[in-house]
Amino acid sequence: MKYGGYAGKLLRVNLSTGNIEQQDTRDYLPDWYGGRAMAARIAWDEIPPGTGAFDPESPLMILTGPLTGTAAPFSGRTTVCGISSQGYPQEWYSRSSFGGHWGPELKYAGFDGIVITGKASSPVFLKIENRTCTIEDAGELWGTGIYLTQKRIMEQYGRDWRVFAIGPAGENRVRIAIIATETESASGQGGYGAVMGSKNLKAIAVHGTLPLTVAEPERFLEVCRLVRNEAHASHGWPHIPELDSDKVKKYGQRYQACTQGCAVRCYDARFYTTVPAVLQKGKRLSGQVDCIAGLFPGIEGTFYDWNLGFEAGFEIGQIANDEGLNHWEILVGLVPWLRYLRDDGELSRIDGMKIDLDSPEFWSFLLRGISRREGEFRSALSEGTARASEILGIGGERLKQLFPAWGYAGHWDGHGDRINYVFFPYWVVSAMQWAVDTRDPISSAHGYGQNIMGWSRICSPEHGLSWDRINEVSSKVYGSETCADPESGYTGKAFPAYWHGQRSVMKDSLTVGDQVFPRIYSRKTEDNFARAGDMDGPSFERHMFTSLTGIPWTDMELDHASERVIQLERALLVRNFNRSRADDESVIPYYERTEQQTNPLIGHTVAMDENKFRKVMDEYYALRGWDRKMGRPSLETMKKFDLADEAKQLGDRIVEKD
Amino acid sequence: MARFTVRSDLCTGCMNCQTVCSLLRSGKHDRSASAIRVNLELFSGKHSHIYCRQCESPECRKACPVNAIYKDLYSGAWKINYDLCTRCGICVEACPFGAMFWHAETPLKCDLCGGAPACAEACRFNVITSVEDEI
Repeated sequence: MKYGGYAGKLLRVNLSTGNIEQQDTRDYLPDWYGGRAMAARIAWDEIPPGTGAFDPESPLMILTGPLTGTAAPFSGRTTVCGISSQGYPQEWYSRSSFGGHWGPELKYAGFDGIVITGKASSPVFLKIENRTCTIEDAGELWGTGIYLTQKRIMEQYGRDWRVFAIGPAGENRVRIAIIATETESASGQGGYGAVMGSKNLKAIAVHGTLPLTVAEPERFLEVCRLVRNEAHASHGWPHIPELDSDKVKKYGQRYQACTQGCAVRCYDARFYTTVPAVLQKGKRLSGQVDCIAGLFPGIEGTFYDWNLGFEAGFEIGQIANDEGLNHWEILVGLVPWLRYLRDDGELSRIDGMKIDLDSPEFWSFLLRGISRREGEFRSALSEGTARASEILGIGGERLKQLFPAWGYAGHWDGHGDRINYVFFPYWVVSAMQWAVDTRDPISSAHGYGQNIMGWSRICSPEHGLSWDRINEVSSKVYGSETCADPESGYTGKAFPAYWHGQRSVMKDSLTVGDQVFPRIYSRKTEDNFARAGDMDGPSFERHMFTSLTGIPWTDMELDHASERVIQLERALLVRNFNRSRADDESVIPYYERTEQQTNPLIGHTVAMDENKFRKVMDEYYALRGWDRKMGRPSLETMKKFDLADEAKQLGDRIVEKD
Repeated sequence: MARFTVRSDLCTGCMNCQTVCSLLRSGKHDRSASAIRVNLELFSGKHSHIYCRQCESPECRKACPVNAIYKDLYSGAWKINYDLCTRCGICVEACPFGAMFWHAETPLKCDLCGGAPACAEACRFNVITSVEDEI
């Protein structure tokens, strides 16, 4: 059967042999319906235990979903999966997604995704156009930044080509290296830039003119129209933020979609058309600033109170993009860690230069040195902050304050990360999400913690909802008012962690924007529950998926297929990395520190109660069908998800029943 | 309505206008079937659009050797009568804005979706707005 929405082929490239093959996407459909879901299947089949991130046979999987590149709003994203170089204490299977316009272009070029194995003998890039792919020499591009790489390829082939590239950081296998397109769309977390660099692959250039079909065009158009109109703002933003009139005048600030299909005035995606450079004097810079990149200038009165000023901060952010470095790690992990070490008197200079976070010269010295592995200290930081602390033998305690787990800096967790406002009990869900992941579990955390906090009157005094209303709305999704109640403590926290797990898979598999879905709260309905036409907000993705592809799944069937991905990913972690409950529990000490913000209904700060959290874990495992002792899917669960054959490979590491 | 205006300086590059237009016209996502095209400028952010101005005295109409281009009285849009059109392509060459496209060996132009352009409806940033001209 032919399904709508899919381009039809997966591209498989072996850079060691130069062999290029095209596989029918339908080999994985409908069960492994795109992006992260398809990658999980490929990973299980093709990544044997013992495979490291930089082993040539380690596949770098770059996969779109059925919605990518279609009229579905917020659907321009692409998911990168494989063995993560950033993963800590070990390199293990993880994922990272990015926006921009590259994924749609890949679909128009006839491919749903690319699976890259092997290692080229010299630097190369892939040239992909209308069902063809060639391996091209990248000798002259090697060593250049991500911006120049894109520009050179676009000059050569055409301005409508799209390029996904690494910078010097990826070439030098820096474990916090990104793969990026345009000026701010990156597969940031995971260190997949280093994986790509280890394969001697500089860039993937795509261009296509092939059509994507639709199963039910009229229905699909109508569903897209309704969803586009309902989704009036990103998560947790009941109102639509305006541009900054000063920055509009001075720097040409404007709204810019961080991915194709985006239909909201996001609170933090801005393009600047003309910003005077501070370091590169005489130049005027342009580029996008999304999300955490807004922190580069520093914010007075906060933990991130360095003072670069807007212009230098903008330039440093662009330098990090061009070099190919992970903004989140730098701003929420690495630099705060250095700041602590400086303030503790443990460190005053790095490779001979005084730590001065107000100096753009220092930031440039730091970042360029990391991406190019210069100097002993910065070379250590090239391994990511967690490994650097170990290599250098300093800052271990401070690291534990900033990094919840897996080598990733805090993110919607209420403890180390102080830019996201989330207090008890909401970070209990975040802790559970962190516990079972291999990276920061951000697409789940956005859907829960960010959404509730943003819709509360604490974060949105004028436009937010009362706690009673938040409870009413959320109970339609979670089935209980305790799941989002600010005074509910540990009760009802396992279910949201469980439910948003599936929703996170959906986002990275269909693909749709992480900051927008699932739609739960709304200002457009009387009861504030998101709804459009005959669809409830949480069903929007399913309606777009079924009318596009013709795969006639119900909400429950899409949910089941998405949970199946979580089960297979967990089985992969058990088979390849011996993952168990002991690993999951390693997040607990981090949360046993006192939270950063105070829930006004409680009146004082709270730290995690280990025993109560263990009960949340028990509940979560029970929902997943994982055994309580080891945190692994039982044979019964594997059978329930039609994974009995896969279970055989887990042998006696799993139990009969949970 | 008789036409729409485009404020490219407000465009965010979301491409919703183009994907929706192509889907309406061809039942597929096919950029070459869209009657509005967005040229993305990824590094300057200064995107531009190719679209039909619904000219008062259109060059495409003047160039057509078989008078296949006519004004739809309801929407005010210039449309192609495909029964008359010989697919000679002269109109495509004639349009000074490059807004008469060539798709599936047939000229393609914006017909304002009969009066309620889907691109304008899909655009959430007021880039594309309908203009009511006095008749």
